[in-house]
Amino acid sequence: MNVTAAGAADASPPLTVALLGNPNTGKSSLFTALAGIPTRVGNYPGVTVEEKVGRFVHAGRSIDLIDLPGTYSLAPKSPDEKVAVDLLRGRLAGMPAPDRIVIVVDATNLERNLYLASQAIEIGLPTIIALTLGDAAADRGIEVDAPELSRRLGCEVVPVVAPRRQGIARLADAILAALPPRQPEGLATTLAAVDPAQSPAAREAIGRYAWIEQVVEGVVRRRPVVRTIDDRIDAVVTHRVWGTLLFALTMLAVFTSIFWLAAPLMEGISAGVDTVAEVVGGLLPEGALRSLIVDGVIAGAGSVVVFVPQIALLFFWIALLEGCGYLSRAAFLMDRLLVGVGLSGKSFIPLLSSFACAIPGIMAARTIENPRDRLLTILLAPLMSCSARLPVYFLMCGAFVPNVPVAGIPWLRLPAVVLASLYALGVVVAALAALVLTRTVFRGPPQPFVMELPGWRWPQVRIVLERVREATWSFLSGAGTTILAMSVVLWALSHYPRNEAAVEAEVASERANLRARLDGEADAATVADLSAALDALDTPEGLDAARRGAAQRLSFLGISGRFIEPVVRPLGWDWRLGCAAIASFPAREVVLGTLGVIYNLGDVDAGSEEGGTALVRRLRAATWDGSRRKVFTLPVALSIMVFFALCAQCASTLVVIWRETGSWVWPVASFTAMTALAWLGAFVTYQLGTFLLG
Amino acid sequence: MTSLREIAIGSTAEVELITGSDPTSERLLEMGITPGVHVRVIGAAPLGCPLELEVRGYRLSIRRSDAARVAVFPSAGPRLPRSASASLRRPLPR
Repeated sequence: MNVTAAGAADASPPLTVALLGNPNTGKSSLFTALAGIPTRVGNYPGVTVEEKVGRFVHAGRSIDLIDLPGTYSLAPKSPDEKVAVDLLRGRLAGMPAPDRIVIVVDATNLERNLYLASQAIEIGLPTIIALTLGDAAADRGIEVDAPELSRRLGCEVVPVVAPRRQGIARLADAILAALPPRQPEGLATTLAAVDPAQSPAAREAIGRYAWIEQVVEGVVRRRPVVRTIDDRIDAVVTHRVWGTLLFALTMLAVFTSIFWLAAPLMEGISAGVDTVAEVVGGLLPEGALRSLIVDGVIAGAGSVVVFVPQIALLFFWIALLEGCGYLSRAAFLMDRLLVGVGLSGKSFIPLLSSFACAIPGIMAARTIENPRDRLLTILLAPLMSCSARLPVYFLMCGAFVPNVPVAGIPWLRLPAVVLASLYALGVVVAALAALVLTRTVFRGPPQPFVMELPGWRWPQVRIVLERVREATWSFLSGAGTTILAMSVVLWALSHYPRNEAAVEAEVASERANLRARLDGEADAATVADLSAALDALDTPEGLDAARRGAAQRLSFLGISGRFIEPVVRPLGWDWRLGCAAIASFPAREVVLGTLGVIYNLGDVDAGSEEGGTALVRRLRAATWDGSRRKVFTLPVALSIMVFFALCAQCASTLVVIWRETGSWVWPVASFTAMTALAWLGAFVTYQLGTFLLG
Repeated sequence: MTSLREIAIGSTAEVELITGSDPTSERLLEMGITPGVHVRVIGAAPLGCPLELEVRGYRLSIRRSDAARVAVFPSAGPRLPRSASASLRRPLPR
């Protein structure tokens, strides 16, 4: 954690040092080189801007390094930038102004970096300039005379190469020794000399850049380079054909890794959690406590940890792409596509990732600086069909959508068309929602989209790993604890009130019901299904499954399922389906498991051949209570799929929305709106389907 | 009046002024697109928008609609090297 051979700190309070700089200047790299892993990560009071502080000791003095959000000027345009400015000026509640400012200045891009630096020097706090990326500048034929720059700016300039730790000790020395800066030579007079007819903002920019041009004159020497490395790379990367191809391949790699590569890791975690549950379950006596620990706490913790592979993989890619400069190129390439719905190219990767899982997708929206675009992206992400919805689609398409060719094309099968339509449905609804939201709730002046395309460079392993660690940890410690608590509450709702007598009565009535239906049933297949179900009740496992099903149907969740039956009737659903929809709230992927329990199959693995077939048979045989009318028909199957395509029945997603927006308003609004949309979509599907198919 | 939007890819133009005084124009100024500076249009995204620019030795992407607000002097000729552009600048107030 400490930079230099420092030893123990003395007892005086730590020196607070704010680290300020433009985005893409190697600021995080410098933070890591100085302070190591941050000792405190949180949010600034009242805003969702991340606060990152690292403590280190240098020459016996404790130093608290505050990593400010990257900003281009001290006239803030976003909450991130406002925090940086308020903190420097000591205007942030509960946080005094820092003792020192370290301004990170990118040597490859001196003129624009000095804009912020010149503003920060004027604050008058002891200031040190860390001149980074000198190596990248040398590659581009740029040489900066640091002592002369220091003389002209009136404060210490220390060249550093953070990944190689060059100049870090000197920078730490300079931090301790720093004095308030002289006012930069000629700045005030140059600012005063600008044409007063210009607007204040224009005067500020024109004056400062005029002064900066004088400062860099003779300080920066450029070897003429005919074609820089950036020219050559950009010529390919932003090329109409090659650029698009490279982009498609990159996005394919990103998506494949979170969609498929994460799957075995997630299965491994599930298997591990099952083992833990089994071991712990074996140690505890049968009863409510065991159920709480095993089905509530351990299963809940498992449902949190299971998201880690996808989050870690996505942030690995984001950090890698950001580190080399491709992330903003990707946004550049995709901007046109998203402008139409009121977003920018920066929303592309978060939304694409949401097709694997909305949780990493929503977290990836952190890369969008503009708060409006970020919030909108977070709200649209759950509409992308995530991989947890796939099992529902597969089961319903496989069991109830006839496998017939569409439009006479032999290879174009109806189940595949239905599946593709469900994906399209999410995208189309998201686009429409974006259009509506940008014209209502998010109405306002056009947001500036002025995006730097940083110079190409090699990503640093340390920074990439740190990003992955940071994202994973913030999910586990922030959203994870809430998801766990919620799982325990939902466990209780599906286990209480416990009434053994009522459960036995329910099982008995189930048996009687099956017998009654078997009498006088002519259809051979149905007879086979019914007698199989009846026989199952006589085996110990079958009876146990029936008891569990009955208990679930008699729990608070089950009762609410019956209670909402009038609401789901117009969708063609019986109360069991309503129950399953409610019970899938902890996580969408459990919906098939829940259906299995409700239909007395116990824990079926619907993904397996055997479990899937058993569930399909049970669903095909299901009838409306007290009648022979089948519950599952094609319109009902379609209505279920449309509902799940559009609904927000995923507690973890809602918790992550809360964490990322810092307010309960958004998850509540999102849940309400998506449920309404899902209901409407399912209603139209069922009614239209019934009308058309008779 | 010519705007940056009309500048051919690969050409350089000198900025005359930025119209409007909203966050977008302010950001353009802060990013160094100030009167007198030379901007090179490097290219455009495959779908035609946004544009990739080079200004003050770095690269910047802005939408065509925003480029329309940057008034430029008719083209100062293709690919003016930076050192030459510096000497073309008017003397600075001191």
